[in-house]
Amino acid sequence: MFTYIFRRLLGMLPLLFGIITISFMVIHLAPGKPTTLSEAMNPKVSLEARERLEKLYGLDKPLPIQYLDWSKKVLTLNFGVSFIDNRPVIEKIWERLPLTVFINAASLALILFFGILIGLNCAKAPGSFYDRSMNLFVFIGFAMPGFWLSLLLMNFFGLHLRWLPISGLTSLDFEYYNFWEKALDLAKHLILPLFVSCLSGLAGISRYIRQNILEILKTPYIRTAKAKGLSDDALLKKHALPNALLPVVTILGLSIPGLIGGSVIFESIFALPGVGRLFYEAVMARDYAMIMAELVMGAGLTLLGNLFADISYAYVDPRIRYKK
Amino acid sequence: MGKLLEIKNLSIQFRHGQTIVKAVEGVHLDIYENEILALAGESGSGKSVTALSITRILPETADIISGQVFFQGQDLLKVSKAQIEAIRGRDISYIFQEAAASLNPVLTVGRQIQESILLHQNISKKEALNAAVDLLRLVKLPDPEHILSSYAHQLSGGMNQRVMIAMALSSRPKLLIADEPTTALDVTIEAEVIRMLLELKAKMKFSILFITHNLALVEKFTQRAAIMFRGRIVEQADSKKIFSSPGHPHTEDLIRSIIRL
Repeated sequence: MFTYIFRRLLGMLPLLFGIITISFMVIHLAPGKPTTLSEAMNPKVSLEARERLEKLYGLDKPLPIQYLDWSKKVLTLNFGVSFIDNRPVIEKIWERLPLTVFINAASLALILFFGILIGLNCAKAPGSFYDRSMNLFVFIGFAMPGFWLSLLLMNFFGLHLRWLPISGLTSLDFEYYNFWEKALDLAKHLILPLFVSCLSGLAGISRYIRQNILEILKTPYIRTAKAKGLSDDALLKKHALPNALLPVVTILGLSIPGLIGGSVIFESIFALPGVGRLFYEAVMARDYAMIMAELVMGAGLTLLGNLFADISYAYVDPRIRYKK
Repeated sequence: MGKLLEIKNLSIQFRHGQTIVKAVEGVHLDIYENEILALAGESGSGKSVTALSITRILPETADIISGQVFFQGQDLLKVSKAQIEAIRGRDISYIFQEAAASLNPVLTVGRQIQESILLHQNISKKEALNAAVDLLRLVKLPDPEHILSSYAHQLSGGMNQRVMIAMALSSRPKLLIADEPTTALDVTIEAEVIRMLLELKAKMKFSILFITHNLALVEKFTQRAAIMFRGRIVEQADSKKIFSSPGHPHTEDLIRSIIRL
């Protein structure tokens, strides 16, 4: 097993290198420079001052040299400082991370819980009214653009009914609240983002579980279980579901990068100070150091997530677990 | 010997979209206590469908259009869902052709036998596990404790079929329906498994409905035989008599198909 993991990790290096190189080039090909923003803000910035800035960040050198300089630093895990406020990039990501991880983990947990529940119930009576209406519901959720639904919900619950705050993570007077008021305030701010991000993910998992269970119900071992005298309910939950859940482990592994990468769109729309919004701001400001740090992190996590999915699949499926 | 099970005028059809295929037509079949009845015929003749209909475990696309299955005074085709579930595995149990595929791949063998026992007997989980060990000894599997914690893919075909037999006999059924139990096994294992079935039958006194397409097995192991052809039973007689004087041309075909070495 360890040699397998080692081999896989080794094989990832060239892939990671390729992804990072391409990202670097693409980001630098995009029009604009970190200095553009400060110029636009202040028309009085002289050519001389701009050149001084560029020199400071090493932007005056040819692109391949910039790439080499940057790579050298990254190899020592130094991602540099943000062009915006000169703070270390890692530090800025680190302080945004808890919120993003919390939101994405909560949303993933909700998706799994409701997705499996819906899929299981649909498989009980395929073609029934429940099955068909759930099918419609989850696909509307899947097909509807998240940002648009977010705006509609913000408008309805936030402006029209005034039940929920429309953006941000906390209210203005958050500091003066006691513990329960704080918890309630956070919950109020998070309910819409969680709902929207959860809704789009339901379709995939619920239809997947449903289809899987329907296939499994045709297998000989289900017939055996039935011949033993198990009820339909026990048949589904004890014999079909564990088999249907095996591939879900893979989906879990693949969603690891999403946990940390964050959702650029949701965090921007709901003004949540997470990693996704940090990335959005960095792109807008052409903050190369920040953009590249997030991209490297995302690429690394995607590859590790794939590996994790494979390993965990091998662990949960007894048929693979014992093979040499 | 009294009648254990009585199938009367059973007809079953399959739905495939718009088309309807008749699988079983007007089958009458009696199974007596403590006997081995062979149900023989070529593939697709309706043997398995007849067998599965007895406890109503046919696939969704099959419909029983007429008939009765009498067992202990009640028509199994009419009793409630809860009643038939209580009969399955307790009074009437099955073993199937592909033993490895008939065991759940993600549950240990032990858990599946234990589950079977707990379904029909009011004992603790621990007692059920001990009973499972005894059952594995009964079917002559070496190192039962180790096998309990194994998965189907870790055992050989013969071992899996023994596990299936142990599970099927866990609640001392009155009827064991063996649906081509040895077709997927090689000849030496086949003989071992059948010999063991005969020993267990002598010890535990149950009837066997032995479904096969191999008339050589019918001749050796069964007392009576029913020959099925295209959904109907075309001949029903003593196994010996069927061989000495077959009464239907299809029976003659089946006899001719036995490979004589």
